[in-house]
Amino acid sequence: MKNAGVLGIVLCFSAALAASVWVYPWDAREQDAVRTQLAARVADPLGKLKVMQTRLTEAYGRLGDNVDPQDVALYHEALSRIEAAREACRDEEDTPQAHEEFSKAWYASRGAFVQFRTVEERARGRGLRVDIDAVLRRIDAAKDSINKLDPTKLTGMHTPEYDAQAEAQAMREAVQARFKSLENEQITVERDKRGTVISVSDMLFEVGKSALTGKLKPNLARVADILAVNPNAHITIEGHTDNRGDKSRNQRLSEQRAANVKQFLITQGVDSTRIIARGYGFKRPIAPNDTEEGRRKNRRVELVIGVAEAAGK
Amino acid sequence: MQKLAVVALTIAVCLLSSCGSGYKLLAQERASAASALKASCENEKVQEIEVTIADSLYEVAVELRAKGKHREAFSRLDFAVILYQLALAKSTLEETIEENQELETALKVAQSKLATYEQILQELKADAKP
Repeated sequence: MKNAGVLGIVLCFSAALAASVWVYPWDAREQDAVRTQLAARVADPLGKLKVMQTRLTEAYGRLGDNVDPQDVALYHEALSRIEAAREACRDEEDTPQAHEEFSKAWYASRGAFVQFRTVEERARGRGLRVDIDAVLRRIDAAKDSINKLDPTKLTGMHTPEYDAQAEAQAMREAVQARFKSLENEQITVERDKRGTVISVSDMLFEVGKSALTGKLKPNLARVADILAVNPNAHITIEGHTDNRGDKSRNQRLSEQRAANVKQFLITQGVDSTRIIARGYGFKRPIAPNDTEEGRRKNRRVELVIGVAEAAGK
Repeated sequence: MQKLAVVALTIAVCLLSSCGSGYKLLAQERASAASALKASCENEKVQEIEVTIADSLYEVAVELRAKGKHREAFSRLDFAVILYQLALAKSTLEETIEENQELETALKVAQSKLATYEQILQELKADAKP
């Protein structure tokens, strides 16, 4: 009887919901971003929902024993949103209700994915702490052994200067490794005496112009992300051209391109005091300018990243 | 038990006969959830784009509720809840990644020191050999 009562509530509640017709007129103040997302997400919504569900389940499965009740709840909420969206899209894909349910499913799934990624990152953090503890124990053991052989040997190695040097070196290596992950056909990452040099092809710009195209902006945004978590890193942006055309025009173009990259990084949250922009025209070629291949290599922007020295020094 | 069934049916009939009051309850529940999440985002100074969008939805929903348009308000509040949750999750993930980057650096520092000490130890051992 108790079950019948509860069932009655659930059934009637569901019926009340199902009987209603959703009306979703967007208020003028509501963000264009949401409307754009709604419009963009509805091509083949059922197919996308299926993929969404598969990926969500896979991501959840990868968590193994690391899940807590909050993760389980998010997973099930996202699944039920996907199911609701599937129901809404099944008969007619292009209705306000279908758009809305799809959009909610998409954002809820994204939230769950982000949460699962956090769980994975936390597990990685625990692993790193274990590794650090192990290394620290080995350091202690090594120190003990050294002190037994020569108690004077470690004098001067516990100073703040020594620690700071070791930390700066490790920081440089960590930054280099992160920037190295940016490499692709259009971007190379090298290390030279100036620091870490990220060389970006002129695909970043419209032909003969200084305005940034969208093609490599995500990569630049990634550079900004890496800089954001490395407050000691500073960056010099160097614009370069090939030798075709007027010298002063090339000089101006290289300066404007470097300045525009700087401006983009500032919009991505990098402090302007950490960035210097310079243009070198065709004064610093890295390949002969007598072939198209050489000229292509010379048309570039280099982002030179140094660590532990303030920009402008 | 019979009382429970009667109460259940009464509630269900009320919901069916007045969908508006059903949405009023739903909107109220979502408003509480959205409000709590909004406060969390403010306290933690979360600056994700989703917060901006959710704030707009929340603001509109408050006005719609005041006008008695609970169904429309619920729709926006439900969306706002999802967006606040996403924003908080993104913010937590970013913090966790930053913590891990610091741990990676700390590990490299420790490994660098260990290499130095082990090198010194090897040299001492080599010197100690007759």
